[in-house]
Amino acid sequence: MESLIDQSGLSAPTGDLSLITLFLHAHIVVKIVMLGLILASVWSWAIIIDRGLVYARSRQQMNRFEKVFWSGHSLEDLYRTLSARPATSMAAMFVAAMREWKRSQEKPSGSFMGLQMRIEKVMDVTVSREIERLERRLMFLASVGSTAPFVGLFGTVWGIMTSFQAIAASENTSLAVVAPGIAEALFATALGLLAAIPATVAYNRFSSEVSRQAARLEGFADEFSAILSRQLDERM
Amino acid sequence: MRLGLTISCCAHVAVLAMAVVGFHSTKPFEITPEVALPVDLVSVEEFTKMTAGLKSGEIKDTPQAPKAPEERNAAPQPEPKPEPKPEPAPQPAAAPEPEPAPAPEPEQAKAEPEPAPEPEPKPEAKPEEPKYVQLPRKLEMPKRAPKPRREEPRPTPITAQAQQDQKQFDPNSIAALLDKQERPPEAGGVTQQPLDGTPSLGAPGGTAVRLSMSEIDYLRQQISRCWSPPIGVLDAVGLVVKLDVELAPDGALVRPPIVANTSSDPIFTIASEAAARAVVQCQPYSLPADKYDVWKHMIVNFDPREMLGG
Repeated sequence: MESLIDQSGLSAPTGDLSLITLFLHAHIVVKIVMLGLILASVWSWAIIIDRGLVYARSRQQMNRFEKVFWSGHSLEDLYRTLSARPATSMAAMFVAAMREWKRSQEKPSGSFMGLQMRIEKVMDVTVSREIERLERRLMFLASVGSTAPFVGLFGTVWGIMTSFQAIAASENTSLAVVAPGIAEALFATALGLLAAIPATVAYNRFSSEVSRQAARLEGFADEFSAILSRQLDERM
Repeated sequence: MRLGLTISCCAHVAVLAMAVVGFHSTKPFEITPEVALPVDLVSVEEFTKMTAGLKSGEIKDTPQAPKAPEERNAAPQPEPKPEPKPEPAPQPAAAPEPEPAPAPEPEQAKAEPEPAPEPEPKPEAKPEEPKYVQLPRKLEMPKRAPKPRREEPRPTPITAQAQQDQKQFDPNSIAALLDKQERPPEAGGVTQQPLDGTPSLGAPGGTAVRLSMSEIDYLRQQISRCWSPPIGVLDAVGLVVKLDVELAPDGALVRPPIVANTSSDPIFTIASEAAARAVVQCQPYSLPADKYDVWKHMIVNFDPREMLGG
């Protein structure tokens, strides 16, 4: 929005149908619609960039953690290094499960089944928290993708309505009278589509990414709980 | 998140700036102006009226009259006007020379046969040139502008060959050119009747289908067989009887014709009765069956003098 206002202040409208004149001549409702759509586009692109970075980072972390985890190092050493700093995704799950394991070892209560259930609970909670973290702000993309075309269409219908009223008032139906109003009205639809298309594409891509990472986390949780239950059985 | 927001803002500013620049370079469509061709629409009825000529009509110069409507549209240029004016003047001035020339020739020929051939080629050459020049001018003159012609007949009679030139500047044809605006175009001959004076067979609703002129003439002819004009009706000026006629599909009358107009003229009563009688006597009429909608109910304009002529 700021950029648009800056530009409109900088360059005086020379051409009849330049974007700035289109925007400035539009009805106030159409202006609000256009500004809202531009804001939505800016925000959805910010989310797209942010989520893209987040997913790439979490995928990298998972890869690294799995490599370390299956490399045969002692789980105690791994826990000691990971618990020192805040961890995410798989590492967080591992830390949570190990913390619960340690606590139950410090005060042996005798019920191994209870320990098994507690560890699984803790890991489930961590998985759901991680998925929630990954899915954050994706809903905005979804709603922008589905509603921005309608909002743009609303601006277009409103603009065409007002331009028809202007035509009726001027009692002249030549194309030169009709064209600017329709062009500025269609500009709203163009902005709506401009905001909606990347948002929809990114939402589809990111939601599949989130489900893939969630499946990976749950798979790791199952494997880790299997390992821990084997350890418990050996200790019995 | 802040990183994403800043990147997004920068990208949007860049894209909008590019769009603003790009939309500025949108060039308007180049429209080549189309030359409007003036077209006169002539319906078949008008055409038949136009071409229906009388034998007694005087014959005019045909090439000049029909061209006039085109020329008026084509070029009312003010510049070429002065040109035709001076030209006819030198022409007659040059033309009289050959006339006196042959007169002295025989005298000289008697005395001296040898020099005689010398002057002869001159008059031969001179008449050729004006003829050559006159021919195209006949065609060009009306094209330039009909207006200057009004002034030209005055200077021309001064010269000796004015009689020849007057064919060219026939005042009748000028009148024909000037009158074109009021009257419909005529193709040389005189039309049988003025357009508004013809007995019209109009459908009451003014439907699109109409009887053509030949069909109207045919009906008039059928009626006029039984038409015996009463004494005095023929002398009445402007006497027109309108008969309201309803016909069955077979051409017979559904009901006796009704006189649709009134007049204070005492002869009108006689004429209307005679007309109604004629219409009743001559039924059934043979008319095109596919146009029954048009002629099943019609007002016949009954002009006694025309009926006799027809």
